[in-house]
Amino acid sequence: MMKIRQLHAAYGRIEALHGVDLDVGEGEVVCLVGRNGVGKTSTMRAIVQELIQVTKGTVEFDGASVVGVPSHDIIKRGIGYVPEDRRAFASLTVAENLRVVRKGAGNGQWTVDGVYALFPHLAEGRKRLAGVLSGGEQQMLSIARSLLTNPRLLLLDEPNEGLAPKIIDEIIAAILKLKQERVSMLVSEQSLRTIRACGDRVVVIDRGASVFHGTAAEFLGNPEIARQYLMVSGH
Amino acid sequence: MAAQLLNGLTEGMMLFLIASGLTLIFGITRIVNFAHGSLYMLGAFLAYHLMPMLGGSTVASFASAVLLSAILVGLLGLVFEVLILRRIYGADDLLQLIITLALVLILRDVVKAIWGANDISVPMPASLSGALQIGGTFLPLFQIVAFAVGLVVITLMVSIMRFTRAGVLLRAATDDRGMVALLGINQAWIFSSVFAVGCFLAGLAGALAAPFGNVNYLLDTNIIVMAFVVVVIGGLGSLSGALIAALSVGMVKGLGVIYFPRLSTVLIFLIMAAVLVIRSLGRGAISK
Repeated sequence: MMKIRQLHAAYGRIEALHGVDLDVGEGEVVCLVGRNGVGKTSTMRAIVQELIQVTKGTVEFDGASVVGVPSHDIIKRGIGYVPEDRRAFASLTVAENLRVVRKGAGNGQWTVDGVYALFPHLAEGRKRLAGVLSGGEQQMLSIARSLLTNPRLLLLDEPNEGLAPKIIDEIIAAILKLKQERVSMLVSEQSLRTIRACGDRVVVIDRGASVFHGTAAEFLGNPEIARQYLMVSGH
Repeated sequence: MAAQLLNGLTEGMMLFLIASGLTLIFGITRIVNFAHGSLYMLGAFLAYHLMPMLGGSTVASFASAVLLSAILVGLLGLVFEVLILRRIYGADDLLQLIITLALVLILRDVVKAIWGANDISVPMPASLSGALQIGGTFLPLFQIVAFAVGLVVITLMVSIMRFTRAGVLLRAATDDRGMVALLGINQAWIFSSVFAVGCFLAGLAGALAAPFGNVNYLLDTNIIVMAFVVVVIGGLGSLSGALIAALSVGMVKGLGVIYFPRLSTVLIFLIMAAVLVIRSLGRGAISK
């Protein structure tokens, strides 16, 4: 479904990615792991052409290159993007945030009622301003909003970062549900929560390049890799 | 006193119409449109030109001349955005400034070439040139009507911003326009329509306010300075801020004429300076 080869990308003259290979297959959950600042967010941004310029390499989605395609067209082709900092429209209510997406975008099955069912939390607070929501609620809103574009591939950049354990459980449950609905996902994280819960494959990034590719089982069965590239002993 | 109050309110309302377009355009496209005053001026000249063609000084011909002028100015804005501005959104701010400044000079020469350099005056519709007696004071009817038109425009704007998807999109784009694109929406048409609507408002204000005073080719710079003052006091990109600021500036000008005639203009700039200082103090406090 998505195939990335030898991706190089830069912010202005500063190169942030120097060779990322990555595949996401139909219905697959691929986890992108690595320490802070090694290029997880840059990889996600390079896919949707946000803030970063691809300088070399290829990014193909459904067999067609998306390099140089305007962001809004990439989204229309079926890639959803939930940025690390969530970027909820702070001065809009929850309901208005969802209204930004064109109704029936992408001809998929996701509707406003559908995303409220996925995140009952949001439905309760639909009239609240997104700016006053908790981090977890903003994360749910950002995922819900992106789902309304009916993506076949969803990019989730550190969806669990900075959230309370109880909220993380809810996000993970939502990711599991999406997996059952056959939404392909690329999820970046620094912990191993998503890998344990529903990861199919793992790609490790270090200093702007992919350094490990394997199944979730291979990754979890080899704590040496996690120790070397994550410096966390699997919490 | 009541007459001065109405004076100030009407002037404030006209300022709001022009400043709202300016602030809307800045909030979404980040373009500081120096030509906004020129579009206001163009609206006044167009109304002057169109009124006789549409039947002279009746209310109907004035109303249609105002509306038509506003639409023409809006269309000009649209063409300018699509042909020129669209190419330079990513460019240096200075380049954008130079291009809108170029439009100021071009429009000024165009206006001089078509209508000459002398003052012209746009007649009030005959049936609105009287006064309304309320209590012991006579209030000019045309001012009341112009103020009411402003109120109608505000009501329309507020309803569109609050209740339609277009309004939701505009507010979202003001918050974070990059994210709007990342939800599959092409920003190009948002930018174009915002620019056209902003220019429409400038043209509307120019045409509607034309009968209040003499119209000449210097109107552009006179009005743009006041419009920027309003936008700065109200906060760049904020519509409600622009409304409060415009009415306050109008009132200070209207009432200042009675109490401190020599200071009324200076006072407005003092208010702006005070607002800027206070705002920067607030920002400093937050970053600490």
